[in-house]
Amino acid sequence: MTLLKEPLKNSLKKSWLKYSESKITVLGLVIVVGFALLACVGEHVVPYPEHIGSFVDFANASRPPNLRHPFGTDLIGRDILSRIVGSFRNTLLMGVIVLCISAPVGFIVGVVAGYNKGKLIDTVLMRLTDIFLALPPLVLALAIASVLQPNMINSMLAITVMWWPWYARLSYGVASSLRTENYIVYAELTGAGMFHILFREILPNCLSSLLTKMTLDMGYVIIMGATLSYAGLGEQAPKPALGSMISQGVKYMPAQWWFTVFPAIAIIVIILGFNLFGDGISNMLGADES
Amino acid sequence: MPSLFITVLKRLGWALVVLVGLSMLIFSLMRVIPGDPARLALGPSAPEEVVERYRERMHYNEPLPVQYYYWLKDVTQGDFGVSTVTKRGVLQDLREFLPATLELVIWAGIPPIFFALLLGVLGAMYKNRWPDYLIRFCSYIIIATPTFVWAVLFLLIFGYWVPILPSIGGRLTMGFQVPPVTGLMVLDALMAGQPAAAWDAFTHLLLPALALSLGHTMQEARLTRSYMLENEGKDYITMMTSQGVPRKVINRKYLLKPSIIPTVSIMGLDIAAIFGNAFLVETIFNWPGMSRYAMSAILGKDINAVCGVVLVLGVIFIATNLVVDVVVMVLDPRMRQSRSK
Amino acid sequence: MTKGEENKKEILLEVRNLSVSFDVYGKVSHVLDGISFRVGKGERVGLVGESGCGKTTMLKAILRVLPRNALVGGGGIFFEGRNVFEMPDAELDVMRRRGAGMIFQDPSSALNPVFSVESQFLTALQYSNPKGTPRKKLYSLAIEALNNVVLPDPERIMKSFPYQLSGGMKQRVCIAITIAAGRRLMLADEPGTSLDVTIQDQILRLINNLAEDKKLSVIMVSHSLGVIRESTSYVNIMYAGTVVESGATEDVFKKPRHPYTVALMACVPKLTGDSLAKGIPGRIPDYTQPPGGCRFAPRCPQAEGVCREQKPPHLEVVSGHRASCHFVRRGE
Repeated sequence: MTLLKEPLKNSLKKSWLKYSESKITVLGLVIVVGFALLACVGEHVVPYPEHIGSFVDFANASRPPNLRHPFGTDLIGRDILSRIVGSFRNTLLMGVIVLCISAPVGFIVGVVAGYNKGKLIDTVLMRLTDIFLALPPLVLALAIASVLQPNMINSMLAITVMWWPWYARLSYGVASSLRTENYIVYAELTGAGMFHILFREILPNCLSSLLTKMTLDMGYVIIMGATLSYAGLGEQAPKPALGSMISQGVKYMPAQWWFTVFPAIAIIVIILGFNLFGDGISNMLGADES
Repeated sequence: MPSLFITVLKRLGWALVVLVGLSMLIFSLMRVIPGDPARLALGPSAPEEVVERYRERMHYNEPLPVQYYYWLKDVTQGDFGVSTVTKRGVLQDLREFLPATLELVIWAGIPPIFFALLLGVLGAMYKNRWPDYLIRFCSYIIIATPTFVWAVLFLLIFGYWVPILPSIGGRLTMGFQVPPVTGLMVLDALMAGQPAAAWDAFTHLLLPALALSLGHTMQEARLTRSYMLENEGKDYITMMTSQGVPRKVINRKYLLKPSIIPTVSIMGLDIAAIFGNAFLVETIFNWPGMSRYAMSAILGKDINAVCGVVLVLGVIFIATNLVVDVVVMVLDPRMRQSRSK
Repeated sequence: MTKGEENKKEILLEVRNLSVSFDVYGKVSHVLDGISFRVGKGERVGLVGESGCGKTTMLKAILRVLPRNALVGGGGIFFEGRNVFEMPDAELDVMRRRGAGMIFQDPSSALNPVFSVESQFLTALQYSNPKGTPRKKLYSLAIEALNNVVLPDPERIMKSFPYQLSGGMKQRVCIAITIAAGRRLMLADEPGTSLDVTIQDQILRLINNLAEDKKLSVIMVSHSLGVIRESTSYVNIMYAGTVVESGATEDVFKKPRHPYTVALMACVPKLTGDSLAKGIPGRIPDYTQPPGGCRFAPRCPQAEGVCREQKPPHLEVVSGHRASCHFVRRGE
């Protein structure tokens, strides 16, 4: 056991050194961890948990930031800070679920096409991918979301549909370059099936680039989700969502500026955190030499 | 350059295939919608026999592939049907709204790339010194800000707090009359010899274009910087240095060119993303373009209009990518070869 | 002319006690540790050693093109008596443009992929010729150099982009660029190693012929003893950033003194021998924590306490033949 522990500790330490090579990525980690914690236990730590739902308090409506409500209150008297924190769980779920579906789907499409490069299945799968990529990303998501009922699940679905082709592209590139490598050819010669080759031989080689792309994409998926929510195609009232909070606040600018500014800052900080975190992870997983 | 020509032809062929696929995708998306398309088009109060006649005329009783055939036939003849929101032909609407969007996207997509390259080169030249830190710090914040948030913040700041730029007044201040030629307002105003109108149109463009381009500009700057630094360590740069070619000549020519090619080659995607983001930005700034039209069509379930816009965007996207590919092939001789093989 | 006389010829380049280290992730990696050797005019000198022993770093140091994270810790490199590290920029330019030139190991990475050969060749020539030399003249110089490296159809080569040329052709183009400006010293970093064996052989023969015709001095870096034996008259055996043995090529090959050289030669498979190549156990040390005494000590079959504590001197064993080992004796 001690024999195993030591190298693990060392490799963790090495990973951490690489991750923290650029100090600013540590800030990203702090933001991401803080955000994830709040997403888990948000309703237990916010000052006004009941304000996250359909609460009304006209006496306190549209209060500017003050000591009791640091980010002010909204049109019907709900605490904006509580609502912002209350929206974190769905924001996080949006990113995680979309990526956890689109990455495997894209991987399978890309790797099957790449491994069978030049065959009919390659052409069919990659042309299909191209079709999904032939539209500006947001447009496809908007079009899909528009034909479905506007809610959280459907906005995730819309984003997943436009997201998987990128993973297909990535895995296609890796698989088509690996398929002529000796160890793949040996595996074929020893009678390994396609399933074995795709998941046991090629997947481990794609894994670090897939994971890197997933962490780097996290911020973009959250932006997309917020954008759909801004357009009214995400989570519906009375549940809070950062995008819809901003779009409702726009009507009351500039007098009630806090309706929009604080949710906007929240989005910026979250995305910043994930982008920095993604950079750190790609420093850690990429370029292993030296 | 015959190889270039052949490559472009091949690309066009594939583009056509992709476009047909896209139309199938859109068509099936349309037909997924619950409800009777004929009833949806005519409204709940229309008498049943009218709806039935409409259904007959639109081939809604035929199987889906046949419907697709008729739909495609109409679309290729420029007939996208009638918008249920504007009650006009979708094609007519598109003709009216597309130029405003094009102008916005051109301004947001093309001039900023020069700033991006400049910032990227500066960042690489001053690596780990204050200009680099400043650029990197700004780029982190700017990239983390969604486009629609930029638009909203600009509206708040420049529309209300410091109202120095027009923000929700459309493309031109009332009173200017610019004869439409290209549909691009600044260009039309200049051609009509009205510099004041051109300036006015430009100020109207500034905020939405800036909101659309900021994130991409910083993204491209980051990319350029990292490729400059990566290529700086390449043997071919060391070789030129070792031959006594001055640093400036190497940096400005032999390092710059290979380093900007990756940035240029993602421009097609960036412009596509700008088209996508224009949906919200046009709505926020009340910009009379196709995207605002499409946005209201999406929210109003105006299927014909959505299809029209999506197809037009598909064509524009494919064309943009083709242009970008040709530019990349001109810049990078390797691309000419590997594709034509 | 005997070997001894050749060594006394005028010195073109002298490396004196050179140390170079790199800053890697905040750690200091001591790569070159007190290297010294000389190159006479018209002389061909070899640097041999395993990959990672600092050969390429050595060559880059001569032209002062070390990577940004490199630090020159001590010693100097004297080109025609002038210390390269103390040269003002203008003088350094003169040395790079007409004095010494380098041929890189991998010809496919040594040419800029997005510029034609013509663009790169003429830019190099433009600066190594007097200001205002007409382009036509530069072009004809380039064509002449391409003819010298036995490339057919030089006009077509000039128009080509690197991806259109084979590895051997690219290597020849690099050689042509280096010789076209009349440089006196050629630094050849494992020429042709990344190419076919037959092409590699042609490239080596080309370099040797050019060196003879043009009275060029050459520093030939290689990990192949065969290459060094064929093309050099003097050799420095390098191990982990130190010169462990040096002498006339013939002498060193006839009677190697340093245990590393002995082991290295035992690695070469011989057609006549009855045993298989042995190989050297262990690997090049971690440069961030190099052994305190002799750097070869951890892998040396003869090592004793003194080897781990003291750096051995570079002792002259017999006239012109030196070795850095505590166990070699003068005259043995």
